[in-house]
Amino acid sequence: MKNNPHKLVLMALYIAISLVLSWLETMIPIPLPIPGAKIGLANIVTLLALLTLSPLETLLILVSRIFLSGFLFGSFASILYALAGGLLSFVTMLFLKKFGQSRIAIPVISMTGAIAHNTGQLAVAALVTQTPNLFVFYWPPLIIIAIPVGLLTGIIVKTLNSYLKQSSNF
Amino acid sequence: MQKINIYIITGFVLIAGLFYGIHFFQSSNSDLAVRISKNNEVIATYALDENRIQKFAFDDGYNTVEIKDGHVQVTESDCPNQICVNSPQIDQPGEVIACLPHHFIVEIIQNEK
Repeated sequence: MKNNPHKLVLMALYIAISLVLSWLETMIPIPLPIPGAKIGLANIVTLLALLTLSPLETLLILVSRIFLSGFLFGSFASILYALAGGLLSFVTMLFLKKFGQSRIAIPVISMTGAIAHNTGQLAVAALVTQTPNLFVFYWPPLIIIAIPVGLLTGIIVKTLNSYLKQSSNF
Repeated sequence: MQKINIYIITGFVLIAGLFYGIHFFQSSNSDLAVRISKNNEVIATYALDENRIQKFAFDDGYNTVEIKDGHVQVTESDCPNQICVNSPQIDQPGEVIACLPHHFIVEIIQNEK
């Protein structure tokens, strides 16, 4: 990473794109009475970074995006939730990518990441409010939502990734 | 697509279904109460079969809880996301309406008498 302006520019671009996606997402109302239900557009960038950069660089992009979007559009609580979800999702996707021996399709990695994100976020919400029932009550619907939405963002990542692979910059 | 992908997707659908099943079989209607907490502290407990409308106002905002004919609902709040207000009414033990911006939780519990 040191003395590599190409990678630095790439990471800055990824952070900028994921910030815009986070902002876009705050404009899209989700007509569901479930806390934490969202499309997770920013996860497109996280997974794309995981596929094109190293895990450490991806982690840096993820954490930067969470803090920046938290300061810009959220609150301290939203940073806490996003960190829990984001980190658990990151670890899960990294694990699937590393040990899936490329047998696991990109949309499925994205879907599992989305499920992990919701699980982490909900676990923190249950801990913060000391209401374990919150977990039991909201986890199944959050998973049901995460499956199609995660697959969809995964298909976007797969398409983008195949285009990026054709470019000489990656 | 490799079979492992189908297995993973099916697995998660099954897990979610299982949770719904557990939730379904736990349902019972005897002697329920509504517990309302703010910042992890229980601030009120009401019987579910007593109709009432109660407003809980705090420095950071308010939530209005309505208990009607054995169902509970948050009817009003000034929180930014309005998730609590849009939540469907609850009537089974273990069901929760959460207003995370206000750290405000409405729960249905089984009375331990």
